[in-house]
Amino acid sequence: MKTREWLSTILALAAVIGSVALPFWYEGRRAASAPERTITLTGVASSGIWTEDPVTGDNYRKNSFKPARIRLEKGESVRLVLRSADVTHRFYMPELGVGPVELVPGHTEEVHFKADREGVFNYYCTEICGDCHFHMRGFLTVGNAADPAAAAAACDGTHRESPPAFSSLAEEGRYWFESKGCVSCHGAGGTGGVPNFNYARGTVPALNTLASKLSLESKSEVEAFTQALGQKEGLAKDKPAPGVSNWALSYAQYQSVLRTIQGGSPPLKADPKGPEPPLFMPAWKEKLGLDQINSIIAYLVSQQKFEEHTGWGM
Amino acid sequence: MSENINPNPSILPSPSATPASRPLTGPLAPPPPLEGWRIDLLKTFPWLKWLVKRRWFQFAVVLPNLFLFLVFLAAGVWGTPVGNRNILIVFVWIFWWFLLISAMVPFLSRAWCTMCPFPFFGEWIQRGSLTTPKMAAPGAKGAKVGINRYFGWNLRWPKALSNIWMQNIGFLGLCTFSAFYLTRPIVTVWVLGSLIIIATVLHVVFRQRAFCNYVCPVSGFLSLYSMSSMAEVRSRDAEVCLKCHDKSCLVGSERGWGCPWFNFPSKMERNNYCGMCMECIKSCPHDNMTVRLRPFATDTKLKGYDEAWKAFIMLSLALAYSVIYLGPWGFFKDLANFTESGRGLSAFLGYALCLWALPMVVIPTVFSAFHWVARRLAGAEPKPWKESFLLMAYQLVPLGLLAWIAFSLPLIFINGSYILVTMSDPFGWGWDLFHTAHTAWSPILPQWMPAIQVGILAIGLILTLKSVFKQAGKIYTDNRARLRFALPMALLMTLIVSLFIRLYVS
Repeated sequence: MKTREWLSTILALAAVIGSVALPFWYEGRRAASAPERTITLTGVASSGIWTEDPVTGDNYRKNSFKPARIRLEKGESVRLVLRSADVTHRFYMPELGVGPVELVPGHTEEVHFKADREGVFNYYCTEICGDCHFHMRGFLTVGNAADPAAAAAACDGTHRESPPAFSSLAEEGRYWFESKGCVSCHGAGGTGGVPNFNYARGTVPALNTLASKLSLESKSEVEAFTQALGQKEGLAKDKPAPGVSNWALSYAQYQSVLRTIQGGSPPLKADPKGPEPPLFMPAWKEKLGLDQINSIIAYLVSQQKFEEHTGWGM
Repeated sequence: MSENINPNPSILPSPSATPASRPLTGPLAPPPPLEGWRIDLLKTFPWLKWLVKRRWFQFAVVLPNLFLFLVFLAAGVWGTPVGNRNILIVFVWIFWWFLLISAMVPFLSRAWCTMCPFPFFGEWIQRGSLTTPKMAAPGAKGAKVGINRYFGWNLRWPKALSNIWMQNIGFLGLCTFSAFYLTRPIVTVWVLGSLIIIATVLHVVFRQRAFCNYVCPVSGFLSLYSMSSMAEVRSRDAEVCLKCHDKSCLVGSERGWGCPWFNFPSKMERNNYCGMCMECIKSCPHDNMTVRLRPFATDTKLKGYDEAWKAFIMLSLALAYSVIYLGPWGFFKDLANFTESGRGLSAFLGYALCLWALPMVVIPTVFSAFHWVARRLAGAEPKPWKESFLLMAYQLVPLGLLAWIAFSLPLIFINGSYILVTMSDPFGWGWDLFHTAHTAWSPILPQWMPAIQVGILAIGLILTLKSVFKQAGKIYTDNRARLRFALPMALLMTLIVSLFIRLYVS
């Protein structure tokens, strides 16, 4: 009888301790048995980032996380543990042949790869995952390659609040350009240059030469065009903006740009048989009103650098 | 007050007392003759008898359950916060609930209480033992209840609370916040963890299973719906019990503890407050206690308004949940889950008020109105209002159980694939224990679901209508009066079922 009671007591204690200890023991053993370096990346849609910080429980709602900064040795094998904190993401690192991997919240995916060449490799979320989706881009560096300039700042959610008062149309445009995530692909100030795997042009086009594309030849023409954009009734073909020399062409180009922003544009593949480029121009007509789009155009044309004419030079 | 519960276990007799001197909950008379067939399972299956008579039997069924339960709680704390990927949410609120309401209660009565982990720690402390009954020797430490020895304070449960009102209120309270813990593992941990703590404290303070009998919100509806169950623990021969001088089933013996549920097993006539711990089977010196199979819905007597309101609460919640969780009206779900949906606190309070008003006021008022009309139509010499009210309120027991089964079916058929996923990856940490972690969500027979639900409700209605007419005969002997009484009640039951069918089919 005493033996049975002792045995029962030991079993009960083992059940209590084991229920907590066993899962952690198994997880530790699993991680230790992996021959490669383990990197855990969690996609957080509400901040628009991939992070190595632990995202547990509901902390993604209130905490802010650091974007991941990963540096690997050339030839290093990696066990990449991918998670989503909140909504469905799709991890894609095309240059190293990883993904696309669908990440359902609450589920963990593992991929393995070898960093067999030096360089900077971008990874993306290719599933529209919320207002901060276009911020969800990161990179890892292999070997001695220099870190690229920091990616666009993480989405801080301010765009969800009412926007501040703006002193100019271009300032408002900058606000939308950055808060909606255009900056993530098109670069700060629309300088472009973000690599887009298997894209015909290689990198996302720069937008800081938009003024030239709109046939605006000088700073004063840009100012005149911007003034017309800011009018309540917007631009009209039969109401040329005073000071814009080639209004018909500028207006036609403006319409073309507007169509692209509102309706989106699929990227042209470099290799027609290759995968879809991860970055593409989405349709913004449901997310941005005409006034907001006009303000972004005003911001982008303001980024054009014009050579100052002295009267003597070319 | 439900008379089957002995509110004063302190009055259990000393070993020397004679049966006649024992102030039990009623006269020591044989139970009424049995209705319907019975199969004595312990005679039919000798291995089952051998099993339930082992001292380690209950421990052996609780232990794995306790282990899994604690693993689930650990998953709730450290696992993924995403509900449908966390084993705690999936196994407790989908798998366990379905198993409990659709299989265990209808076929095994309160077998869940045999293996429930909530009172494990409390009972361990209270008994000072996991498997072996302790006898109260003269001068030994610990309180004496019957002839067994217990630790803790062993206070009597207050008489005013010796009913299931606390369970009614507790269950309704829990259900008000269901949207919070059904979707958030950590909130489920708080709820279940609190129940374990409360159970442990109450076991230390009060005698025996006061927590299970009077407080546990799960126990409340199990007590009600176990009336419909096809299994029962009963004495084989009432005469043997009458002549028995030991009454070990009540006071305990060295073979088994006295009934921890405050029952006098030998005169038990309903399942409501029997936790199927099998102690009476072990302790009976005459081998007179057994487990029997019987027809569905055999216990037909509610004994107090607390039990009647439990039936109202359960039926109302089945209805409300069908609207909130199965219906196409996201508005209601948003109200229930107001922190997630962004609806204000006042909207949630409005929702909570409606959820409470439905079972506590609206349905009882409608039921009372039909009952009043039925009595008026039937005319002469009715039994007292309370008696006929409780007889008719019983009709909501089998009907409510089948309504809950109809509600719960889609939970498992639609979300069942999550069980496979979380079995393999209980914490959402990327495990694949049984190679099912990547099972895609795939609902089973969604197109057949309304038809199956209607079929279940139709069975419920047939059983209920049959029972309405039968119970009416206990109130009115005259056939005409009986019919006049039964018709409005039958109409009410039909309307209730029609409402469910409309919800599920449309």
